[in-house]
Amino acid sequence: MFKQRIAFLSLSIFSIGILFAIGSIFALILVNGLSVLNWNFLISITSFDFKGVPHGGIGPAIAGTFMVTGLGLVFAVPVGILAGIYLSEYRSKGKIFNVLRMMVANLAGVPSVVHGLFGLAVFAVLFKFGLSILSSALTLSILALPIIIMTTENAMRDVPNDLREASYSLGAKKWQSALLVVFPVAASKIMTGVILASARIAGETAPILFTGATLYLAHYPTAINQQFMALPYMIYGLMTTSINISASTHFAYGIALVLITLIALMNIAIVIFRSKTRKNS
Amino acid sequence: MDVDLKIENLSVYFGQKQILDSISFEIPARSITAIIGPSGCGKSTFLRTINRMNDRFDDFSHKGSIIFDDKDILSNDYPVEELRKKIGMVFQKPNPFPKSIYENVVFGLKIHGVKERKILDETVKSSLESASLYDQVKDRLSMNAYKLSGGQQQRLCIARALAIKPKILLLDEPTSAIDPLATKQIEEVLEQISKEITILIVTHNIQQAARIADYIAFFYMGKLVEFGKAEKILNAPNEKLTDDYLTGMYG
Amino acid sequence: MKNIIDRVISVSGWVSIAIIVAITFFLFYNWIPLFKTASPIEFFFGTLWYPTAIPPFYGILPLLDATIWISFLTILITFPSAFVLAIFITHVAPKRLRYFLKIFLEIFSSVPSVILGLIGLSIVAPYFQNVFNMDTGQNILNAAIMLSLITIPMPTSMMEDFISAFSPEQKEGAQALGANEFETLTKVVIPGLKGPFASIAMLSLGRIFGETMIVLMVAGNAAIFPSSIFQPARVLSSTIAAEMGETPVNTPHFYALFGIGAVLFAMTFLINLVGEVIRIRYERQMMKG
Repeated sequence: MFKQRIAFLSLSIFSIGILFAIGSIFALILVNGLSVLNWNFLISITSFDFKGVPHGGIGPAIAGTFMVTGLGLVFAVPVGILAGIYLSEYRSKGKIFNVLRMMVANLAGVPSVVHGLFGLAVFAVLFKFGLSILSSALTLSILALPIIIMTTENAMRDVPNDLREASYSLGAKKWQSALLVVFPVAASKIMTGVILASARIAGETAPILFTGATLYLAHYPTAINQQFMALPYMIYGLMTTSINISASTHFAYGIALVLITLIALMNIAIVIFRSKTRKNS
Repeated sequence: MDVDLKIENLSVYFGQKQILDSISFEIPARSITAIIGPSGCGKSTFLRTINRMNDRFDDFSHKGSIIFDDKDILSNDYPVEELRKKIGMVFQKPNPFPKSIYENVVFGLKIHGVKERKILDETVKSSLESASLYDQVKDRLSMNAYKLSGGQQQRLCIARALAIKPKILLLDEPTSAIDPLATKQIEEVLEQISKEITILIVTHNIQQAARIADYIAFFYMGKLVEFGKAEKILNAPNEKLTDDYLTGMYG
Repeated sequence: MKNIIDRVISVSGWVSIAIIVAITFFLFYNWIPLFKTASPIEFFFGTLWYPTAIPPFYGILPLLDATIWISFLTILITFPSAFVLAIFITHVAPKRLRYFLKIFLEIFSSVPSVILGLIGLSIVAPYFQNVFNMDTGQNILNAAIMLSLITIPMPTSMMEDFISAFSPEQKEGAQALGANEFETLTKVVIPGLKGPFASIAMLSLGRIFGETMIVLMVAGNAAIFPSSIFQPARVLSSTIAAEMGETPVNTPHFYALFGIGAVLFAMTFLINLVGEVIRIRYERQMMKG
């Protein structure tokens, strides 16, 4: 009895310590980043003076992150949803299904820097897209793919079977049942997966490191065949290549706050979507 | 008697397990045939074999044939979507789509390529009327079908099945999950539509069979024990098995 | 019934296999040319990684060694922490707090690793240097700590799922014999979850091997055999990230970096496979029992 008390108590102390450490990360970003944040910061172009102090803002980086994430989703979402539909409606069991499922899980476990290598070799060099938003977006889409596939498959599977039976009994073909009956019911959950994927790829640095991201552009990105600035890369670049560490660090915290806020907003959207699905069912 | 469906020596297996054994009989057109028998004797499987809903199970296999319009509908050559246009099904638990009432009824038409608004509108009206539902919902066709009561949902499912103008309608215990008042409404609907459409209904409820069936088939342990006119089966069955079952049910 | 839509859907279903095959192919395709100028022995067993020297050295052993140091230290911190946290969430925390904690951890798991790198660099490193008088704050320990923080949420939530879903019958059986909550936990639930926990450990290890940015920013820049956790080090993943930017395409250095990528890919693939196999074997065992 006493032993149990001690055990759970020490457990709790340790756990609270861990949670505190995790929570302090948020606090640190907030505290250090807030002082940098203002409207000017969000929309201005970045510049560096000869002392290495960054000036202006991160407008192009925000735009770059949006563009490359959006384009990445354009590639990943249609393919990912169709693949998820395949796994739940067309080939939902058996040996081949197990292999396909395992491959999706393995794709999810590939290190992001390996994705970067693949993107460099295939999109930038082989397809000759060069260092560009396009190359980076394609690379990021491969990262997003397993997330969307798995969410879609699970969402479709959750739809009760009697709806499919009704559809088949009226003479619908498989794709008609899948797209016109099951998919609409699964749509909210699938949307959750899409937002999850976008939150993930917005924060990734390694895949865009050598496929198109650059530290300094004198203007907003205008075309997808150009290099671009991105929020996560900017943090990395500022902290590792700058001449003036303290000024750069200060700036970097502002960027970190913006990035975290963006991702937090996406997470909130997910929670909203999740409660919406609960209401519908 | 005009015959719609000819069952010839039909045996059905799931893997090694045999569910139906050499079923042979003919289903008369434009009448109500009730299939009765104890649970687990293969009635539902039989129904689902007719419109090939069992095809989706990998271990399903069959012997024998079912002849409809001079063709064996169980053969792989017969396109299953065409079959289901002509033979419709209503399930035990009402399963309307989470769409509007209108969209539910026109679903079958749309997937078979019908697009013209006028035809869709007319079919919605006539199908809902046949299912005795039109008056209750005519002002709220865009309402989500889930908001209807259980009995209304089932009648919607009937309307949805009727919309593609099938020749035969299969019903698998359609009123077992419905309250008695709604049950009566559905039985009246079936009696009305059986003037144009052949009805094959599986039911646990002997009184229901007595009320609406023109013909009765008694299934026991996967075999067809007896088939004949309703009055005959109910009052003077040939087989002792049938008699035992009926007296058992009546108490 | 094979029409266009069916075909499109079917092809999409195979896209994940196609990509894995493609990744494997292109990694090797851009690695093999290295062996025109350096031998495989040199690559796998060379003790010096110095591609910019003349002559260049392409030995990955120091990088491999550093990877093992950091991963091992990280798992040492992560696994027990996740374990303790999972038990806290399932057995100690009141119900309301539980929901909040799960969401808290879920939100944290979406924090980009580069941000943890930022904190490791700007706060932990100076702290190590000033307060603990380490030679440099950018070292293995720093990386392991930050890596642990970002890794902890995943195994915590997985363990929490397993612990709360553990067979209530077995728990009741233990309680009927007089075991209290803690004893039931340690003598029945945990031993019963050996399989899933092993697979969770594998999955976490896979994630740790693949992590790049934290180690890149926080573990310093020395591609040497580490002698202590207070020294800097370079792992496989961070080497690629650090050097690829300045490496011209189709040079031996380029090929060597792809080689590291191939090794990294193979390692994580294998670990994930082992994790999956353990998971499936455990599931089968659960089905029987």
